[in-house]
Amino acid sequence: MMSTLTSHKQPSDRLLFLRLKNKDQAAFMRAYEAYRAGIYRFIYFRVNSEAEAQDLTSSVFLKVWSVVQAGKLKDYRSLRSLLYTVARHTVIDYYREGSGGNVSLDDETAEIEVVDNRLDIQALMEQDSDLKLIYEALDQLKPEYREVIMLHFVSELSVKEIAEVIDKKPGNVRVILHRGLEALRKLTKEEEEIKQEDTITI
Amino acid sequence: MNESGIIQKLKKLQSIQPNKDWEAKQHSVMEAQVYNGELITPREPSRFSNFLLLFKATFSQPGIMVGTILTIIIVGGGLATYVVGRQAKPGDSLYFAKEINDQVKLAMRFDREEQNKLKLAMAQERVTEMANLDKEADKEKAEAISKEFQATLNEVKEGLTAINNTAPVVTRKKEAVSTPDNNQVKTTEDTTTNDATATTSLEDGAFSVATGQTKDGRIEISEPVNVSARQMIEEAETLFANADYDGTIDKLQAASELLDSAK
Repeated sequence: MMSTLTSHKQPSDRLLFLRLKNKDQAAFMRAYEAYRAGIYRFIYFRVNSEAEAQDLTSSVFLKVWSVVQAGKLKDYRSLRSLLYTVARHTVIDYYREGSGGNVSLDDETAEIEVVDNRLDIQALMEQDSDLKLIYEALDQLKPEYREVIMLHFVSELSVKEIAEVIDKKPGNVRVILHRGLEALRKLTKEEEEIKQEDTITI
Repeated sequence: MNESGIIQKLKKLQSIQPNKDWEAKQHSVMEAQVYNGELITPREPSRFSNFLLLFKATFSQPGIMVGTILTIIIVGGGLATYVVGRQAKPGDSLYFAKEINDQVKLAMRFDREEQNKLKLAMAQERVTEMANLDKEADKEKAEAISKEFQATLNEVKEGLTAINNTAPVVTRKKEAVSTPDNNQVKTTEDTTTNDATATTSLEDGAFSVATGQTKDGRIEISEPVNVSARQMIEEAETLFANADYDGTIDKLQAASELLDSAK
């Protein structure tokens, strides 16, 4: 079945969304294949736990499928907007229900739980010290800034899509993005200076 | 690190992927949920049905639907007005469409001579309209056509005068053979360009200013093409007034060809 699904050229996001409105099962599986990794990554950076990210990712797609089956799919700008909106609300509910503690992105204790991805990030950071700097700086950013930055540069959503996901106007999103990047640049600079001072002291 | 450097590093985070085992397992779980445990090979819709789906979704959006309907009304209405307007006669309610069309055609021609030729063609159209009109029943229309015809020709004449005053004069030599029994004028298409006013061409110095004749009795008159065209137009006006519409069209055609030959 998998080969049947992947043998065709990937349909556009818009077409998939329209097919989903018609309760098309094959379209849903295609959407799942196309967006599973992205949704997982988005959730993973929010909950910082591989197991939780896996569960919540499955939960997101099941929620979407139940909405599709019920024929209650609202008109979204794109399928990505819909999926990331559901993912965002799923994470919010997860924290609201108290399932997730206030876990920091670079929380040392989380490393015990996370196996593959934490190792991936560690490996990435060992290769690239600048990435580690940014990763640490991201954790210090306002959640609003961090969310928009991650959605735009990691999940590659457009400003309009992000506006739909976070329920703000595109102009506001642009402002948040600009301020967030500026804050991230300043934080990265400060981190760099601290590290340089440490090196000189040693 | 500058902004573009930060963005580059952020994009590196895209390499974080979920666990492969989990992915495979989860795929089966999801398929079971979606297909209710049935082993059905999913059928992909045809390109045509995909196209229909996109088409329907696009044109069912209120903004696009209203825009499309408005475009169809505007373009369709414009085309209909143009087509019907082409058949309209002065005095008809849609005659304005024809006038607009003529004005647009005129505006597209920057050369004054081309404009004059187009106006002559328009005048010919008025003559045809007049020829096909029941003048007794449509007196008002006949009057309107006459006015339009006269106005168009007046514009051409003004245009010719303007060209005469600004451009070097194009002359057309008329070779008139003086015979006792008739005054037929044989016209040759020898056109030359020289300055200012109508000039007299001499033939080997044997031209008599007093008689205006050469030794062999021929009269040579060189006159600007524009002057000749103007005369033809005036003749056409007379023919039109005398209801000789075929003759009018011939004269206007000849004037147009004359203007063409002067280029």
